[in-house]
Amino acid sequence: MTNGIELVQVEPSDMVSVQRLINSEFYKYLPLDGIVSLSDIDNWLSRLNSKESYFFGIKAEKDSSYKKFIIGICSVGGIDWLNRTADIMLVVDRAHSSLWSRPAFNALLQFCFKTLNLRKLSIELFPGSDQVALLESLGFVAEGVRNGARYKGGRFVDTTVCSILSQDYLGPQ
Amino acid sequence: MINLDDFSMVCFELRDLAHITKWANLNLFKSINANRHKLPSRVMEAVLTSLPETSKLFIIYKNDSVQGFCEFYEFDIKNKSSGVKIHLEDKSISMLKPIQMVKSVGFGRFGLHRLYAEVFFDDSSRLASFKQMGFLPEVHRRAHVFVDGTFKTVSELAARNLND
Repeated sequence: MTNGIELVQVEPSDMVSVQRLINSEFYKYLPLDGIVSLSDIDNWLSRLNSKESYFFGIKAEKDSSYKKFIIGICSVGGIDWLNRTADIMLVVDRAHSSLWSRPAFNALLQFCFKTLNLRKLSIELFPGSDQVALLESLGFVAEGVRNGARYKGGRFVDTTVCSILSQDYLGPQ
Repeated sequence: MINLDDFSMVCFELRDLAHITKWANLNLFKSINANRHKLPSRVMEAVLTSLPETSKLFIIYKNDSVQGFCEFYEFDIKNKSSGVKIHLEDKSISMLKPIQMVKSVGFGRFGLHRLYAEVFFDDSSRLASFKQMGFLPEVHRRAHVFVDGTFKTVSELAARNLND
């Protein structure tokens, strides 16, 4: 829980909210394929929560009207425990993104750096993503563009890889 | 089996386990990936016989003698992409033909759209070989892999199937 944001394990009661987010237009900006049925989502989530990955719902706690609802989803995947690196993904419902994206990223980064003791996090951004400026302000650095790395909307699209080191976020330890 | 002049590439079989274990324990894997070194043969056998579907391992022969291996990893059917690692035991052998074979298998037989390789930023000869075979540097992954007590920067080079 950080800055009014809570990262929670997705419970059965949250499934509809998570499914709505995954199947929404946000799939365009996520390394996910969208279109997940409620019956699939349980298996899908159990696959995502393993030794190499975590999946969370994002709940805002200050406003009681938000408290019952998940306003976003995030994940830490591809964890490489030897090199202490991982890939992250985060999306907040557009209606709440301007207010909650930054606290949500902070909560995720603190979980990764302070709880998992990871050293470097990478994120892959899709064309049209509105997270670039936010990520730069958090200390992420663009490492390059992967040409035609993902197939979205009937064509291969370029993705931008950004990363942040723990020392850049937390300061020298 | 894939052939290119005196080189050939065949799927990994258990008879090749000794080679892989030797390379791993000589830390030669460090030149491409730090994940699998210092493993005893029984562990290597377990690792190699339970490779995920996203990984495909081939042994590289030259004139019928084992020279090294290549691996397709993070094999992604949906996005038609895969990472590739190539290791040759004899450093004096040019990597150009093995890279060409990997491209031939990746783009031809597997029908992939994009192949990428991660090479240490300071490994100029390997970088030059991949560039010569049409791989372009795309991502500069700073402080990405832990080797010999330091975090080394890795360049990701990629080649695309322009006919796709």
